[in-house]
Amino acid sequence: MNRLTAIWIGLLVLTVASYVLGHGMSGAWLPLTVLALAAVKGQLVIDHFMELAHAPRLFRYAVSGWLFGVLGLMAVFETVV
Amino acid sequence: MSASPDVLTSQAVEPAEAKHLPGDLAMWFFILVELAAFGLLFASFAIARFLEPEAFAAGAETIHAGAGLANTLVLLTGSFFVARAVTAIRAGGVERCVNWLWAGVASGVVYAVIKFSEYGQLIGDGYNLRSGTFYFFYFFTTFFHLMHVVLGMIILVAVALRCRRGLYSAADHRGVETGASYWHMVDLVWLVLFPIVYVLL
Repeated sequence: MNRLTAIWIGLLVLTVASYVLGHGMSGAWLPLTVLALAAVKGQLVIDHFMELAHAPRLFRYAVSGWLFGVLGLMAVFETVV
Repeated sequence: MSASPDVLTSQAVEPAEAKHLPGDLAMWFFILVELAAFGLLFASFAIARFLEPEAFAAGAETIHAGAGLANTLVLLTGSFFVARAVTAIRAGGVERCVNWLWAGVASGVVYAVIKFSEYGQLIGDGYNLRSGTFYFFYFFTTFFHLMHVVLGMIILVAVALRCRRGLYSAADHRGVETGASYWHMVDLVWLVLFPIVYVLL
């Protein structure tokens, strides 16, 4: 299978998994799991669709930093607040 | 569009050891500015939810999460199509590149149709921008994102038309990469928006 096709199917599976978790279950761990899945999906898009895995590091760090920064802030609000 | 596996070609055009930023540098600065704007919006959403937890919990019950799920799948698929367009032009496949780009535009159309039917249902249920803080943020954030999908579609159409005129090739396809990078950014933003607005209740 083409590498991009495998990434695409993986992203669809993770999306459905995240939705089923968020709407079918409950628990203190749930929000963090959903946010972690979003981080994995975002990094897959950054590395393989945006191709920043092979770009100058500064750009990969900036975009990944945005992804983890925003999701991390949400995790803080979910757990601490 | 070609459905044949192109494992060999995609291996051949795999970026080598040399670092390569896809597309124009100016587009990447624009992308970083866009991400900053969305970051502020998401932070505001979190703070507003912290200040009014009951209103946000009640509001979250009324929005149509299934539409959000469908649109996530649509945007991921559109991003995949556009990534295939870049792979195609690197292998010199002008026609395949154009076809994948149109498929990307079509995904944007599907996204917009789903988004407007979602708005239509909510407005039919009596909710709008003035229905409280939650609805203000829901409509404002998702509509701001929709505007970016529309801009991304305009860029993809422009790139597809230029590609059809033979302006891109295996040797020169920076414009395709530039358009693709913007489109992937719109997808990335939605991947963060989806759990924040639709999944975390």
